[in-house]
This record gives sequence, C-alpha cells and structure tokens, in this order.
Amino acid sequence: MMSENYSIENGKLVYKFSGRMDTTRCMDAEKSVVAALDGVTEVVFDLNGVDYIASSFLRLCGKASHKVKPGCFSIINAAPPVKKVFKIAGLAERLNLV
Amino acid sequence: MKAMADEQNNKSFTVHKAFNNLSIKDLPMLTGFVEGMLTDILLSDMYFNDLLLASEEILSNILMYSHNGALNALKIQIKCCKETSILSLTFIDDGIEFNPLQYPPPNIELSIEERKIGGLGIHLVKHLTDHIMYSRLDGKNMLTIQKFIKPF
Repeated sequence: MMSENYSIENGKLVYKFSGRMDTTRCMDAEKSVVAALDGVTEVVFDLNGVDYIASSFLRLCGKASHKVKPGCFSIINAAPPVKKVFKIAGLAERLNLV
Repeated sequence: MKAMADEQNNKSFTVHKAFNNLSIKDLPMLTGFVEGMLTDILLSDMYFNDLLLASEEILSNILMYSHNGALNALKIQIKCCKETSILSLTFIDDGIEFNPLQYPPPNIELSIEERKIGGLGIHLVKHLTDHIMYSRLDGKNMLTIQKFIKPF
C-alpha cells in the first residue's frame, strides 16, 4: 500500500515526514498517521527533510510507538536540530532514534 | 557583512505587538510573527531555532490552557528586546493564572501520553533558554525567556 506519505509492506509501515512538524501540522497529520498504523507490526518514521519539530510531534511518535511491540518502532534520518529535541525530552533511546 | 553584524550586535532592539480574540487556530500566525522578529535580528540558526521552538511551546500552552472556556477571546502581547548580548521575549496573556515554572520535570519513566499535558513543552522551553521568569500582575500572566547571544 502506498501513499505520498507512507508505504506498508509485510506489516512494516514507513511514514515519511517533511518540512516543519510544528503543532498545527502535527494536529493535521495525526488522523492520517493513526489510520496508517492500523494493523501494522513495525513502524519507521523517516524524518528526511524535517528541519523542525515541536512537542506535539514527540507525542505523535509516542502514540505510534505504543501501537506496536517494544523495539518495533524507530526513527531514521533525523537532522541534528531534530535529534537535539528528542534528546532534551529524554526520548532518543526510548523511541529508537537511529 | 561584519560591519552590519557589529552594528546589529550593539544596537538595542525592541518590538511590542498585541493580538486580540485569539484561539488555537491562531498559533501559526503568532509563531510566524515571532519568526519574523527573530529573522530581523539576524540571529544564527542555533539561537533562532531554539527561541522559535520555545516560543511555539509557550504560545501553544497559552492558547490551549489559558482561556478557561472563553474561546476566541484570549489576548496576547509579545515583546522582543535585544540589548547587546541578551535577547528577551516576553509573553503576556489575560487568561487564567498559569505559572509554567511550577511544572515538575516530566517523568521520563511514564509513557509520553501519561505525562502531564503541556509539561513536555515547558521542559523543552527550560532547556532551550538561559533564563525564565514568571509573574502575575493585574490579571495577566507574564512569562519572559532570555537567551545569551554571542556576537558573530
């Protein structure tokens, strides 16, 4: 299954975000993300092109990570300013920030 | 470029603007205003990103939790002041009394959803800025964040 934002193959969801994931964009994206999470067993959030995240995005990541078993959620391609926010929040390890 | 940067480093800079009849849908407009101010000050990316995110977290907390049910009625003032090496941003709102500095640090053992709503944002603000001050005066919350800015 493909959309412009995500792909699902063999139960693995890869969801791509881009640009600024501020509070408003996170609120707008949540419905789509939650729908994509339905029935998957592994989740990867690809942050290639994301240059800014707010705490709402951290919550969205947390919500997604709880939809799958521990160890089955990860975040890839996070730019240094984005990694910094995860680290300040103490979530880099918990959310398997690669 | 250096001459302009030297001039920018030394001059005082103050902007003050009031916004009325606000609700959460106005968050992009408010953060856009802060972004414009920070751009005019010619901050390096590091300070710019930290202050913009801190401002967004503060503004979203105010818009989501200060109105006490009076939607579309919140008033917010934003002041930006740069004196040589210190940049101050003050957020003044007429919502219910709300001191974000009273939040304890978020318990990272809890799931993200279990943590007190708004607490994560405040935690980020505390770590992205060098100093925070809160006061309540004449029915208004006043929150000031400061960042020490090294010259170019």
